Amino acid sequence: MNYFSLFSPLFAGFLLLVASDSTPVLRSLIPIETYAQLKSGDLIFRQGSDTASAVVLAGKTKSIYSHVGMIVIKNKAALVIHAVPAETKNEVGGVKLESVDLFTRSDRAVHVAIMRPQYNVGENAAKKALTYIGKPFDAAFNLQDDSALYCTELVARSYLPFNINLYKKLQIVRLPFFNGQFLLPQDIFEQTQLIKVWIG
Amino acid sequence: MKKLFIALFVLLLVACSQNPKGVVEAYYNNLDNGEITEAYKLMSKQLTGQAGEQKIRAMLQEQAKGMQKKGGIVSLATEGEAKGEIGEFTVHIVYKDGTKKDDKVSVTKEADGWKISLR
Repeated sequence: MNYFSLFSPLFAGFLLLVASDSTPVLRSLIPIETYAQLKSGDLIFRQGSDTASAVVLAGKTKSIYSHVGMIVIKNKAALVIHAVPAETKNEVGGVKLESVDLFTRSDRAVHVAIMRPQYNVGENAAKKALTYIGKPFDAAFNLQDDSALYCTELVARSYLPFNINLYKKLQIVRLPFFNGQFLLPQDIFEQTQLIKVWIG
Repeated sequence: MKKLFIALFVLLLVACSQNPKGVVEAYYNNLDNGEITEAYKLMSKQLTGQAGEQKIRAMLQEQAKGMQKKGGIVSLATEGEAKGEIGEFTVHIVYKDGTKKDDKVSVTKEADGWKISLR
């Protein structure tokens, strides 16, 4: 009896199990069939994996979206334009364009919602948003000018010329060097002028 | 001896988070020392949950940079009080460059102690 031939399939199976456990599959949270429903100008919200535990600790039971971007359909590809701070020291934060897959990947998001503002002006808003590409991230969270932008400011500014006002609910924040109004993603998400495209 | 210092430090942190005024002062001192991670720990979960860790950290770095530009804090006095689970404080700050500033800061009581919050 050759012990090697007896145990080698078991050992191979064990290795396969270990390998599959240690390499989690990163995938988009949006089902593939939803991509066909996306239109330029749709707002895409995500609850970041970094904020999920904070929301639970704050005693909230429902999803709270902590980031928002806008869908841009370019050459039939679904992209997201959004404003983000630098993730690493070598990276530059600001307004950038990335794939929907990356934006909604399971290591970045635990919940995603796609909402469409009324009046069919999404194409125009997306064109306006693209003019902001390369602007720096607004760490001062200043809504007064567009020299730098944060996530909600980017989408609200892009819709404002087309009579969609996403600034309806502003939070007053009083912190050092930061006394002003703050537009939060959840406060845009809860506006009644948005129509649900997909939530998951 | 080292263990005693660690125990005292932990005790200080716990005491701090149970005292709303102490949380406000610790927040300013952390920013003044560039301790972004420590300042982040004092932020309300409701705020960090709604804005996201990356954005809040970027905001804290901006605040720390603002303090550095003024040379750092020379003196800090806090007045105000907490009622129930909400507190409102006025922080009188004098910076090294001579500027004086009065900030309004709100705190809220969460499961793990008092935290800096939206108003």
